[in-house]
Amino acid sequence: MLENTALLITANKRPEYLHPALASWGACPEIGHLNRIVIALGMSHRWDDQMDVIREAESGMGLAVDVLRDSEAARESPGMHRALGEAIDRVLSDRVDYVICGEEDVIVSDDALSYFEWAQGQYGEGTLCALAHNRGGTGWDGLDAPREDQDADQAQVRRLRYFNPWVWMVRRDVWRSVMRPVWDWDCDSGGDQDSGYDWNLQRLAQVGPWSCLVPDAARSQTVGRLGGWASTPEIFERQQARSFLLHRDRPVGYRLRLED
Amino acid sequence: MALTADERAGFDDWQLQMYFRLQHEHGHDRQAAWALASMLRWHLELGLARPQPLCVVTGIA
Repeated sequence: MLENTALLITANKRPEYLHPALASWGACPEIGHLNRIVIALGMSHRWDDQMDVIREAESGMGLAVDVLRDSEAARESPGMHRALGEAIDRVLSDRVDYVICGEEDVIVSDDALSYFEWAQGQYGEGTLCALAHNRGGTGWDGLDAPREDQDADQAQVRRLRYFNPWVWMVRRDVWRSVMRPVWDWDCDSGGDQDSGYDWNLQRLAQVGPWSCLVPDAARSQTVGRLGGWASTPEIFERQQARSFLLHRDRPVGYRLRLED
Repeated sequence: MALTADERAGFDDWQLQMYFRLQHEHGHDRQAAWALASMLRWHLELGLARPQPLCVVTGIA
Protein backbone atom coordinates (compact mmCIF):
# COMPACT_ATOMS: atom_id res chain seq x y z
CA MET A 1 0.00 0.00 0.00
CA LEU A 2 2.05 2.92 -1.23
CA GLU A 3 -0.98 4.92 -2.37
CA ASN A 4 -0.94 6.55 1.08
CA THR A 5 2.79 7.30 0.90
CA ALA A 6 4.74 10.29 -0.40
CA LEU A 7 8.39 10.44 -1.37
CA LEU A 8 9.99 13.69 -0.25
CA ILE A 9 13.53 14.56 -1.35
CA THR A 10 15.35 17.59 0.00
CA ALA A 11 17.64 19.22 -2.53
CA ASN A 12 19.77 22.29 -2.71
CA LYS A 13 22.65 22.89 -5.09
CA ARG A 14 23.99 19.60 -6.42
CA PRO A 15 22.12 18.55 -9.58
CA GLU A 16 24.98 16.19 -10.47
CA TYR A 17 23.86 14.10 -7.49
CA LEU A 18 20.13 14.71 -7.71
CA HIS A 19 20.10 13.13 -11.17
CA PRO A 20 21.35 9.67 -10.10
CA ALA A 21 19.34 9.92 -6.87
CA LEU A 22 16.10 10.41 -8.82
CA ALA A 23 17.16 7.70 -11.25
CA SER A 24 17.66 5.24 -8.41
CA TRP A 25 14.16 5.97 -7.10
CA GLY A 26 12.87 5.55 -10.64
CA ALA A 27 14.46 2.10 -10.79
CA CYS A 28 12.08 0.98 -8.03
CA PRO A 29 9.20 -0.66 -9.93
CA GLU A 30 6.68 0.61 -7.33
CA ILE A 31 7.43 4.30 -7.80
CA GLY A 32 4.25 4.84 -9.81
CA HIS A 33 2.20 3.58 -6.84
CA LEU A 34 3.23 6.49 -4.61
CA ASN A 35 0.70 9.17 -3.75
CA ARG A 36 3.18 11.94 -4.56
CA ILE A 37 6.80 12.58 -5.42
CA VAL A 38 7.98 15.89 -4.00
CA ILE A 39 11.27 17.77 -4.13
CA ALA A 40 11.79 20.37 -1.38
CA LEU A 41 14.15 22.64 -3.26
CA GLY A 42 16.30 25.29 -1.65
CA MET A 43 17.20 28.49 -3.45
CA SER A 44 20.73 28.46 -4.86
CA HIS A 45 22.76 29.50 -7.87
CA ARG A 46 22.01 26.02 -9.28
CA TRP A 47 18.21 26.42 -9.17
CA ASP A 48 17.80 26.27 -12.95
CA ASP A 49 20.07 23.23 -13.22
CA GLN A 50 18.11 21.49 -10.48
CA MET A 51 14.84 22.24 -12.24
CA ASP A 52 16.27 20.86 -15.50
CA VAL A 53 17.03 17.58 -13.72
CA ILE A 54 13.57 17.44 -12.16
CA ARG A 55 11.76 18.19 -15.43
CA GLU A 56 13.87 15.61 -17.26
CA ALA A 57 12.91 13.01 -14.64
CA GLU A 58 9.24 13.93 -15.00
CA SER A 59 9.17 13.66 -18.75
CA GLY A 60 11.49 10.66 -18.84
CA MET A 61 9.41 8.62 -16.40
CA GLY A 62 6.01 10.07 -17.22
CA LEU A 63 5.39 10.78 -13.52
CA ALA A 64 4.55 14.10 -11.86
CA VAL A 65 7.21 15.54 -9.56
CA ASP A 66 6.04 18.44 -7.39
CA VAL A 67 8.50 21.10 -6.31
CA LEU A 68 8.14 22.86 -2.97
CA ARG A 69 10.17 26.03 -2.58
CA ASP A 70 11.75 26.52 0.80
CA SER A 71 10.01 29.18 2.90
CA GLU A 72 11.75 32.41 3.78
CA ALA A 73 12.20 31.15 7.35
CA ALA A 74 13.81 27.95 6.03
CA ARG A 75 16.15 29.92 3.78
CA GLU A 76 17.32 31.95 6.75
CA SER A 77 17.75 28.90 8.98
CA PRO A 78 21.04 26.95 8.99
CA GLY A 79 21.13 23.78 6.90
CA MET A 80 18.04 21.99 5.66
CA HIS A 81 16.53 21.08 9.02
CA ARG A 82 13.70 23.61 9.00
CA ALA A 83 13.14 23.08 5.28
CA LEU A 84 12.69 19.34 5.82
CA GLY A 85 10.38 19.75 8.82
CA GLU A 86 8.20 22.25 6.98
CA ALA A 87 8.09 20.04 3.91
CA ILE A 88 6.99 17.01 5.96
CA ASP A 89 4.21 19.16 7.43
CA ARG A 90 3.10 20.18 3.94
CA VAL A 91 3.23 16.70 2.43
CA LEU A 92 1.37 14.77 5.14
CA SER A 93 -2.38 15.04 4.69
CA ASP A 94 -5.59 13.06 5.06
CA ARG A 95 -4.52 11.00 2.07
CA VAL A 96 -0.83 10.70 2.95
CA ASP A 97 -0.16 8.61 6.05
CA TYR A 98 3.54 8.02 5.47
CA VAL A 99 6.36 10.14 4.13
CA ILE A 100 9.68 8.74 2.95
CA CYS A 101 12.46 11.31 3.36
CA GLY A 102 15.38 11.19 0.94
CA GLU A 103 18.20 13.53 0.04
CA GLU A 104 19.68 14.83 -3.20
CA ASP A 105 22.94 12.95 -2.68
CA VAL A 106 21.60 9.58 -1.56
CA ILE A 107 20.78 6.78 -4.00
CA VAL A 108 18.63 3.78 -3.13
CA SER A 109 18.40 0.10 -4.01
CA ASP A 110 15.70 -0.90 -6.45
CA ASP A 111 13.89 -2.75 -3.64
CA ALA A 112 13.76 0.35 -1.39
CA LEU A 113 10.06 0.96 -1.97
CA SER A 114 9.07 -2.68 -1.58
CA TYR A 115 11.05 -2.69 1.66
CA PHE A 116 9.20 0.39 2.93
CA GLU A 117 5.88 -1.15 1.90
CA TRP A 118 6.76 -4.21 3.97
CA ALA A 119 7.93 -1.98 6.84
CA GLN A 120 4.53 -0.30 7.05
CA GLY A 121 3.15 -3.64 8.19
CA GLN A 122 5.78 -3.79 10.96
CA TYR A 123 5.27 -0.18 12.08
CA GLY A 124 3.89 -1.05 15.48
CA GLU A 125 3.69 0.57 18.87
CA GLY A 126 6.95 2.27 19.80
CA THR A 127 8.23 2.55 16.24
CA LEU A 128 9.81 5.92 15.58
CA CYS A 129 10.52 5.36 11.89
CA ALA A 130 11.80 2.85 9.35
CA LEU A 131 15.30 3.34 7.96
CA ALA A 132 16.62 2.41 4.53
CA HIS A 133 20.20 2.53 5.73
CA ASN A 134 21.78 0.03 8.03
CA ARG A 135 23.80 0.81 11.12
CA GLY A 136 26.93 2.82 10.35
CA GLY A 137 28.41 5.74 8.47
CA THR A 138 27.20 8.64 10.58
CA GLY A 139 29.03 10.90 12.98
CA TRP A 140 27.61 9.03 15.96
CA ASP A 141 28.77 5.69 14.57
CA GLY A 142 32.40 6.79 14.44
CA LEU A 143 34.24 7.19 11.16
CA ASP A 144 37.71 6.04 12.04
CA ALA A 145 37.84 3.07 9.65
CA PRO A 146 36.09 1.70 6.55
CA ARG A 147 32.88 -0.13 7.23
CA GLU A 148 32.80 -3.92 7.30
CA ASP A 149 29.18 -4.76 6.62
CA GLN A 150 29.76 -6.61 3.35
CA ASP A 151 28.48 -9.91 4.77
CA ALA A 152 25.26 -8.47 6.20
CA ASP A 153 22.09 -10.53 5.89
CA GLN A 154 20.25 -9.06 2.90
CA ALA A 155 16.79 -9.89 4.24
CA GLN A 156 17.03 -9.31 7.97
CA VAL A 157 15.59 -6.23 9.71
CA ARG A 158 15.84 -5.33 13.39
CA ARG A 159 14.23 -2.94 15.83
CA LEU A 160 17.08 -0.84 17.17
CA ARG A 161 17.47 2.27 19.27
CA TYR A 162 19.31 3.83 16.39
CA PHE A 163 18.64 6.47 13.74
CA ASN A 164 20.33 7.10 10.40
CA PRO A 165 19.22 9.95 8.13
CA TRP A 166 20.01 8.37 4.76
CA VAL A 167 16.38 7.78 3.77
CA TRP A 168 13.75 7.08 6.38
CA MET A 169 9.97 6.78 6.61
CA VAL A 170 7.71 8.20 9.30
CA ARG A 171 3.99 7.76 9.90
CA ARG A 172 1.79 10.84 10.21
CA ASP A 173 0.71 10.31 13.83
CA VAL A 174 4.29 9.71 14.99
CA TRP A 175 5.47 12.79 13.14
CA ARG A 176 2.83 14.99 14.71
CA SER A 177 2.89 13.67 18.27
CA VAL A 178 6.52 12.61 18.74
CA MET A 179 8.96 14.03 16.21
CA ARG A 180 7.52 17.39 15.36
CA PRO A 181 7.43 18.74 18.95
CA VAL A 182 11.17 18.07 19.40
CA TRP A 183 12.30 18.73 15.82
CA ASP A 184 15.53 20.72 15.66
CA TRP A 185 14.04 23.44 13.48
CA ASP A 186 17.00 25.81 13.62
CA CYS A 187 19.82 23.33 14.13
CA ASP A 188 20.63 24.51 17.62
CA SER A 189 19.68 21.58 19.84
CA GLY A 190 23.30 20.71 20.62
CA GLY A 191 26.77 22.03 19.89
CA ASP A 192 28.44 23.02 16.63
CA GLN A 193 29.09 19.41 15.66
CA ASP A 194 26.07 17.60 17.07
CA SER A 195 23.03 19.70 16.27
CA GLY A 196 20.42 19.06 13.63
CA TYR A 197 17.35 16.91 13.24
CA ASP A 198 19.53 13.83 12.62
CA TRP A 199 21.48 14.11 15.86
CA ASN A 200 18.25 14.94 17.64
CA LEU A 201 16.43 11.85 16.34
CA GLN A 202 19.40 9.70 17.21
CA ARG A 203 19.22 10.98 20.78
CA LEU A 204 15.45 10.41 20.83
CA ALA A 205 15.92 6.83 19.63
CA GLN A 206 18.60 6.18 22.24
CA VAL A 207 16.58 7.27 25.26
CA GLY A 208 13.61 5.16 24.29
CA PRO A 209 10.95 3.96 24.39
CA TRP A 210 11.28 4.49 20.64
CA SER A 211 13.06 2.23 18.21
CA CYS A 212 13.57 2.23 14.45
CA LEU A 213 13.24 -0.55 11.90
CA VAL A 214 16.80 -0.99 10.62
CA PRO A 215 17.82 -3.40 7.83
CA ASP A 216 21.06 -5.31 8.29
CA ALA A 217 21.96 -4.51 4.66
CA ALA A 218 21.77 -0.94 3.41
CA ARG A 219 19.04 0.10 0.97
CA SER A 220 20.65 3.51 0.54
CA GLN A 221 24.08 4.89 -0.15
CA THR A 222 25.44 8.42 0.04
CA VAL A 223 27.01 9.60 -3.22
CA GLY A 224 27.82 13.09 -1.97
CA ARG A 225 31.57 12.96 -2.28
CA LEU A 226 31.81 16.72 -2.83
CA GLY A 227 30.00 19.79 -1.65
CA GLY A 228 28.33 18.42 1.47
CA TRP A 229 28.50 19.72 4.99
CA ALA A 230 31.39 18.26 7.02
CA SER A 231 32.25 15.82 4.24
CA THR A 232 35.63 15.15 2.74
CA PRO A 233 36.65 12.47 0.22
CA GLU A 234 38.30 10.56 3.08
CA ILE A 235 35.20 10.66 5.26
CA PHE A 236 33.09 9.78 2.25
CA GLU A 237 35.01 6.53 1.72
CA ARG A 238 34.43 5.56 5.34
CA GLN A 239 30.70 6.24 5.03
CA GLN A 240 30.19 3.77 2.20
CA ALA A 241 28.06 0.75 3.09
CA ARG A 242 29.58 -2.44 1.65
CA SER A 243 26.24 -4.23 1.92
CA PHE A 244 24.48 -1.82 -0.43
CA LEU A 245 23.20 -3.28 -3.70
CA LEU A 246 21.68 -1.35 -6.58
CA HIS A 247 19.60 -4.37 -7.52
CA ARG A 248 18.07 -7.30 -5.65
CA ASP A 249 16.19 -10.14 -7.27
CA ARG A 250 12.53 -10.27 -6.26
CA PRO A 251 10.91 -11.15 -4.07
CA VAL A 252 13.15 -10.28 -1.13
CA GLY A 253 11.83 -12.13 1.91
CA TYR A 254 12.22 -9.39 4.50
CA ARG A 255 12.47 -10.90 7.95
CA LEU A 256 12.08 -9.08 11.25
CA ARG A 257 14.44 -10.32 13.92
CA LEU A 258 12.24 -10.29 16.98
CA GLU A 259 14.79 -10.77 19.75
CA ASP A 260 16.12 -7.24 19.24
CA MET B 1 32.96 17.14 -11.67
CA ALA B 2 31.92 20.04 -13.88
CA LEU B 3 31.36 19.06 -17.49
CA THR B 4 31.99 21.19 -20.54
CA ALA B 5 28.99 21.94 -22.70
CA ASP B 6 30.27 19.51 -25.34
CA GLU B 7 30.78 16.75 -22.79
CA ARG B 8 27.31 17.29 -21.38
CA ALA B 9 25.79 17.20 -24.85
CA GLY B 10 27.60 13.94 -25.52
CA PHE B 11 26.28 12.33 -22.35
CA ASP B 12 22.79 13.68 -23.03
CA ASP B 13 22.84 12.14 -26.48
CA TRP B 14 24.13 8.81 -25.14
CA GLN B 15 21.46 8.72 -22.44
CA LEU B 16 18.68 9.52 -24.90
CA GLN B 17 19.76 6.75 -27.23
CA MET B 18 19.93 4.32 -24.33
CA TYR B 19 16.48 5.47 -23.13
CA PHE B 20 14.92 4.49 -26.46
CA ARG B 21 16.97 1.30 -26.82
CA LEU B 22 15.90 0.09 -23.40
CA GLN B 23 12.27 0.57 -24.38
CA HIS B 24 12.27 -0.66 -27.95
CA GLU B 25 14.96 -3.33 -27.92
CA HIS B 26 14.79 -4.56 -24.34
CA GLY B 27 11.13 -4.12 -23.44
CA HIS B 28 11.46 -1.77 -20.47
CA ASP B 29 8.67 0.67 -19.73
CA ARG B 30 9.30 4.40 -19.90
CA GLN B 31 9.91 4.82 -16.17
CA ALA B 32 12.42 2.01 -15.92
CA ALA B 33 14.12 3.02 -19.17
CA TRP B 34 14.75 6.57 -17.95
CA ALA B 35 15.92 5.36 -14.54
CA LEU B 36 18.28 2.74 -15.91
CA ALA B 37 19.65 4.92 -18.73
CA SER B 38 20.29 7.69 -16.19
CA MET B 39 22.04 5.34 -13.80
CA LEU B 40 24.23 3.96 -16.59
CA ARG B 41 25.01 7.52 -17.74
CA TRP B 42 26.07 8.42 -14.21
CA HIS B 43 28.53 5.54 -14.10
CA LEU B 44 29.83 6.55 -17.52
CA GLU B 45 30.29 10.16 -16.40
CA LEU B 46 32.29 9.04 -13.37
CA GLY B 47 34.43 6.77 -15.52
CA LEU B 48 33.18 3.67 -13.69
CA ALA B 49 32.44 0.31 -15.20
CA ARG B 50 28.77 -0.49 -15.72
CA PRO B 51 27.69 -2.31 -12.57
CA GLN B 52 26.89 -5.91 -13.31
CA PRO B 53 23.50 -5.83 -11.57
CA LEU B 54 22.37 -3.03 -13.87
CA CYS B 55 23.58 -4.95 -16.90
CA VAL B 56 21.47 -7.89 -15.81
CA VAL B 57 18.41 -5.71 -15.23
CA THR B 58 18.74 -3.75 -18.44
CA GLY B 59 19.81 -6.56 -20.72
CA ILE B 60 22.63 -4.31 -21.93
CA ALA B 61 25.97 -6.07 -22.01
